[in-house]
Amino acid sequence: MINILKRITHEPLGLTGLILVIVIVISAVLANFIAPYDPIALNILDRLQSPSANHLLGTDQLGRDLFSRVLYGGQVALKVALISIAAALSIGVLLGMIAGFGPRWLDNIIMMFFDTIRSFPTVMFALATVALVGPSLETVIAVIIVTSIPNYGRVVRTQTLSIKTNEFIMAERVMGVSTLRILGVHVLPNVIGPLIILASMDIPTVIALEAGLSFLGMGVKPPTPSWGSILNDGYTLIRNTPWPIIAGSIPLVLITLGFTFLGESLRDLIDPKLRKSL
Amino acid sequence: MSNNVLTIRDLSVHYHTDRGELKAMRHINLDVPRGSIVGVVGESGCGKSTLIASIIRLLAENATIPNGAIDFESRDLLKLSEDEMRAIRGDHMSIVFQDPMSTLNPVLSIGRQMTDIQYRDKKSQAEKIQRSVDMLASVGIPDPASRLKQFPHEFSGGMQQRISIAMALQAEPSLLIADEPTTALDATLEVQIIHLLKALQKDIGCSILFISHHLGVIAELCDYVVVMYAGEVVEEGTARDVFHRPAHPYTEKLLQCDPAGIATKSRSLPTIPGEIPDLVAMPPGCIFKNRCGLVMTQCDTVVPQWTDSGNGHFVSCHRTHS
Amino acid sequence: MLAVTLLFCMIHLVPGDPARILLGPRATPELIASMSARMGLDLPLPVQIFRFFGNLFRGDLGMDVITNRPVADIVFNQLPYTLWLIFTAIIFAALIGIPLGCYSALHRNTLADRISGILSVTCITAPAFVVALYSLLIFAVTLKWFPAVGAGEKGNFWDQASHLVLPAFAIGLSWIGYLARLVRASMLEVMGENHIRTARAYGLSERTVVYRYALKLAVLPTVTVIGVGMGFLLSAALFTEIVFARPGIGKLIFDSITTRNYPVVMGSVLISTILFVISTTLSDLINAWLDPRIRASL
Repeated sequence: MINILKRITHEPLGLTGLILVIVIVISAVLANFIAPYDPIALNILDRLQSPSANHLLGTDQLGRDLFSRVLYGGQVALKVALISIAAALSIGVLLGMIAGFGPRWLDNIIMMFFDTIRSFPTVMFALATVALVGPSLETVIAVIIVTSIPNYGRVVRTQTLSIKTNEFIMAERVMGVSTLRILGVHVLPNVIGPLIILASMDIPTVIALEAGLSFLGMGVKPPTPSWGSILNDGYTLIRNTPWPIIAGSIPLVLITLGFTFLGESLRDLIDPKLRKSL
Repeated sequence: MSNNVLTIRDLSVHYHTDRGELKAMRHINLDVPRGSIVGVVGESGCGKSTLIASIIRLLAENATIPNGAIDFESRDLLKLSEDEMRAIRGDHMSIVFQDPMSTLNPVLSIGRQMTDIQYRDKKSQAEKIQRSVDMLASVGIPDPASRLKQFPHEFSGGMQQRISIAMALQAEPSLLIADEPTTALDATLEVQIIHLLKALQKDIGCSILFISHHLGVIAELCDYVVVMYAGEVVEEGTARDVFHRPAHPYTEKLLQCDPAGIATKSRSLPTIPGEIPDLVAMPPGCIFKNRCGLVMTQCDTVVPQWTDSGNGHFVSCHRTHS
Repeated sequence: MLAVTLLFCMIHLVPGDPARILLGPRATPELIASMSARMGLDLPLPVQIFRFFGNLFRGDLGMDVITNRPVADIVFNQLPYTLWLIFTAIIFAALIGIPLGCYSALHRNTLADRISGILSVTCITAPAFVVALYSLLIFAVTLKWFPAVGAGEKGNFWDQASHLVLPAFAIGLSWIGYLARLVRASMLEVMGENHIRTARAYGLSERTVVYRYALKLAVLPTVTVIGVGMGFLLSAALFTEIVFARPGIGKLIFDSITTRNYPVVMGSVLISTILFVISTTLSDLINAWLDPRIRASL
């Protein structure tokens, strides 16, 4: 681990990515402490101000400080990313292993399930679900989990399948080694590398998805700040002031860039065969 | 000199690597007389590919040529511009590579490939097609006219190599370079290709520079033989001289190792013990000294001279002086 | 793939009480009852599925709850706008991305290559709607170079074209980066192959070698990528349409969600998915046709 970290920091790209990610994550986690204002506190008198010493990024149409809203918005983004990816990983790994190791009919069903999900354009699927169930952060998380599962599941399944027919595995099974042990000892270590890369490339996608859905009003409920909802406000105010848009987009773009750079250098390290020098 | 179609004198090629300058070829001398077939023998890593690349001047980016001259049809190839080289490639000098499946373009029909390389000719398309058909017929492809539309993968390995040869000889070059053309083929095909090359060479009258590590083929096909080791030419002469009266210890050992030449059965095949020395940090003296069984004191410090041991049989070894 | 569509339809028949859902919050018990009867929900499930497909094949996607027009009409009315948008975006991305990738491959590891590499990655990662918002902000609102809203008058080509520029740019931008990197990697791979060396050995000019031989081969993966990326294109189109208030499938879905017009939502999502599936299959086919090796084995 430490080794990988050291090597990442040597590459300028990886270093930039790491810095970006750390900065934003820390600022989000410490939002409660560093935010100068309460993000949902209204202050109509101060509405629509441009950036100043008082309000680093200006204020929105209800006088709320944009900088604080951005910081708290980070919490939402991180929460969504962590929960959904962790859940999707766990479920995906589980399903993938079952599909790979279990009986054929079960594999077919799971694969059909995966393929169905994958054949939807993600946002459309999200919107359709929201239409049925009603907008909320929980819905967004659930949708993201469901749409992410197939990606992880397939990787795990492929690995499991190839292990299953491996000769010395058959030998172990004959000797009565439990399936769980086989899966844990042989499948997991091989799978972790690609999964980490997938997950780190997924994080920016997930964050962008949450922001997008919130932007459309399908995600977090006001007045909770999310980068997406800030952008939504910005959209309605676009002819008045550009600052909400700028405020909402900066952290989004930075963290997306950060994770992507990080993911790229991770990929170069873990799988040098795929190395495409920039 | 003027009897040669290709004369290489004192040619060196260095590659710039992370570890330092790799002296891949050092002070090479090589003659290809007009209308003859010259074989180049050597194990992997002896510099054969570098030799070919420097003749057609398609060397890698990190290569430099510190000294030497390549005289082809009275012009020094090393002094020519890229455009002038391009005019020669495929026209006066052409090349057949080792693995035909990968050297032919997989998504173009062979007819298209064969007419494309005739781009210099001011002939009509129909004439170009006819020329290609004729060439294919001369290398023994049955029903060539209809096969022009087919793609490389629709032919067998042997046929693909024939097509490559047809392409190479289409412009009637004065020099054909063949880079291990039979290594990827099985033995029967190899024999056919060799016979084909011999016949075509008589027909067209070109010279062939035939690179291989297969001694038997060289012996059968070539008039002259050049032996290369670790970036140097260690021996050059007629095939008879080199094979029957080898002058360099390496050549002797090579011949001993050839399975076809082994008279008595034994449990293990003979090999030449040791390895090629490091070409970046080169040791002084003779390049073969660490594997040669007949080392003398000078071999350690002095690089042997290229000397004529009689009748145009050249060798680079201290023993010839003694 | 057909099996996939089948499953999708099945899923939609499952959640909750379809009648209640279709009617949404306006439902009263009587309405639900009459709707159920009308929709044949009291019939056994297999019959329902059968009827659904029957309707589907006849092009009947149900009725718009609000305006009572056939959903199919509404959807197909809006579809062309989206298709035009996506098409323009792809062309735009290809026109810039492919040459950029080619140039990067030919001049690899120079400063220009590294810069374009980083720019490409940046382009890829910027979410589509952010790009849309910024282009709206900068080009439409601040600089007033292009119109901000709508699709332009019908029948007026230039007006429609000028309305297309910014949205297509927003969608196309991330694709430029993606295509550039793809073409670069693909070109590098092709240029290293043996038959390119052969072409050079025959004295073919660098121009011919690069553009007629190498580039044609290198561009093949682009086709597949676009087909598969249709999903992303549709999502990006959705956001862009909303930001620029353009008519199209995306805006249709969004509007009908906010007005709780479920049949329209279902219908449009269904059509989009079918579109996605078609484009994936199509790109597989085109790819197979372009490469004679695959063609031969078919």
